[in-house]
Amino acid sequence: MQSRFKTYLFINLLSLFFGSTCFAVEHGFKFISFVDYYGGIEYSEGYENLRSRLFFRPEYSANFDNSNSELVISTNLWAQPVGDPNFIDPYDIPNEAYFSKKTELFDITVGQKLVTYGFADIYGPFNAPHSSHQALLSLDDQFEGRRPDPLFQLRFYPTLEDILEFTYIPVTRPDKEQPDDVYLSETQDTVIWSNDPYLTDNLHSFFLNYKRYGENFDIQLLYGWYTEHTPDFIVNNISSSDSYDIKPEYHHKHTIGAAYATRVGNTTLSQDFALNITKDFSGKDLAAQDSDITVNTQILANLPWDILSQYTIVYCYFFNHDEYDRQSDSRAAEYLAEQFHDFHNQPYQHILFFVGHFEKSFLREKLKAQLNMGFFFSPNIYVAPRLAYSITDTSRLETGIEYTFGKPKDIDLRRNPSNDNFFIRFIMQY
Amino acid sequence: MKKILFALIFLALATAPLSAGKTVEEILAEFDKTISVPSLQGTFTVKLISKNGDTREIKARAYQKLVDNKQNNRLFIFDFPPRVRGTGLLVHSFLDGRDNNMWIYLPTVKRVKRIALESSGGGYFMGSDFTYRDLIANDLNNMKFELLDEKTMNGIESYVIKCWGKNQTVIKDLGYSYMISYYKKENSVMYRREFFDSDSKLLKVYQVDNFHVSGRYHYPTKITMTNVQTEHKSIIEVTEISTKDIPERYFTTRYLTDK
Repeated sequence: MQSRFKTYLFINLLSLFFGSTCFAVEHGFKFISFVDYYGGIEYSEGYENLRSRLFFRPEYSANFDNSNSELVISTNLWAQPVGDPNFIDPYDIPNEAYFSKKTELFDITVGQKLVTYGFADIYGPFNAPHSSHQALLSLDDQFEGRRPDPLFQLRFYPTLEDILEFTYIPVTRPDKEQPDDVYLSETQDTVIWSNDPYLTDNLHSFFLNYKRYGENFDIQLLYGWYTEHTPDFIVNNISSSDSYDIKPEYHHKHTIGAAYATRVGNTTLSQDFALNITKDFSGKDLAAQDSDITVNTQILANLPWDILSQYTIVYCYFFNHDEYDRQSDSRAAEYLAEQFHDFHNQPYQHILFFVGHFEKSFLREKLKAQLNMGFFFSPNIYVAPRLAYSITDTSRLETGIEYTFGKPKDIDLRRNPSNDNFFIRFIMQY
Repeated sequence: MKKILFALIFLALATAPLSAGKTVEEILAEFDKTISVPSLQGTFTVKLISKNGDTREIKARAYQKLVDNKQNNRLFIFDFPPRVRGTGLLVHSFLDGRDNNMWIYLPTVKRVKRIALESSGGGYFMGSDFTYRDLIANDLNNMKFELLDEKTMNGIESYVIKCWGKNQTVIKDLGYSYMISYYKKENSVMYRREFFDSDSKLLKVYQVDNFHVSGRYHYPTKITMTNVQTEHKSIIEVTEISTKDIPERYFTTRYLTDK
């Protein structure tokens, strides 16, 4: 009996080994590396070295054709070669790393992955999953944007046009803010950032997303109950005379959204509508995020002289915006409210802003010129010209400027204290 | 990366029949039959060669299926250069006057985006000698045709047909004052086309150097487009051609993102 079992086990091991080698595996390798430098050119502060990076992102993928499954592993690595030594946060080293199994009707994914919802390319109100780097020097830095989370994802394809997706994120991370604590000049308080790599006190996020890519319209519906990556703050004492430490606190949030995209003549139009319900719906807490309705409208059109243009208009309405509790020191309360409302991008009850993107290629697309412009209905117009030159099929040189007209905002808690800057970047990609 | 990435191959797949023949209409109809392969897939390599010999390359996989006599689906997945690897373009073309539907998948932002080709940024496609407008099938109702000649070209007995836009709007939209196409007499297959600029000077020459023949179908597998004014050249080569049936699910946004 024991001998038969051993034979059975041996045969099974053999078949497992040879069976696995029979899988047609397609291996894929990608590699991107760059070196870049940022210099500060804020007129009021003079020139300064802001940062430099020597960056590597290797990626390995394996497609198992016989089992319709895929494995992806990628990492981020960077070090600062110029100036004070600095390195990537070890928790940011793992990039995407997941396993997917596909069947006729379902896809199942387990691992760390980026998830994207909605049709808006920028300021999309559906982009609730994942934390991100908030103190970016370039707003379009594609190497330090959103950070993937561990997740379980199930996709169901009832028809060729419809997709129903359920995503569960057990634990997520806080947004990455500026490295140092911030001193608030009028109240002498200090804002302290979270050092936690993961928000273990705020587990479990769920997203349910329906997509339909039809003949005339694309449609998306979204419901999310999730850990908000941007913190609220605990302000127990509002006072101009005493100083306190103000600490972050993370809460769950609901997002209910609907979006569509369609062709209008020779342009494409998309709109994302979202209702965000925060913990502080009444607006009583001055340092907490308000609930809001956000509408993002995006138009993609071709201009004369072959200039590609995209226009994004964002409108937000914040419920109970000025209903916060002022306690006994209304001056201090108003100062703190201004700081935290700005931090939460809710300076007024209604906000409206516009971002334009213009793009043209020269030298048979070897040279690409781009201009991003932001108009926030204030004198502080944002402009960000970009140039990219492809030296070869695998290497290119990029440069750009971030410039905001006028002086930097007089907000202690603003996220980019260096404001205007330029960068130059040399990229190799295989 | 907002600009539409489109395959040069599209020209080979989508070039509208522009000829006439025995009568013009007969040549056009015959040419249409030779190129209307029900299902087709292949790997495309495009070499871009400048006057000074500087060479760049684009590689893509392409899939095409005629759904019925009103709809044609195409999928393109780019593999090279690395900055566009994984980018996909899905096109549902309608032959009954409805607007084409197009979606692009950009792996860097993991987003499927509906686009209109006319909002692609125009100009030359990915640095090649094909304009974005070259990649759109011409509505024959907007074109005029004339049989110019019957002659032997490089040993091939050919019909020579001129075509041009019906009005100034169409001509301006096309970007050419007129085109002259060469069709083989034996089977009405088009193998050469000359493009003339707004001053009626020869601008570009499209030449098919090789065909994949399967039954009545003749599919171009090596195409050279030469800009005679700048001496820039684009060479398309198609390999791993298959005419096996392609499942409908290939032409969905699911497949666009998965491949």
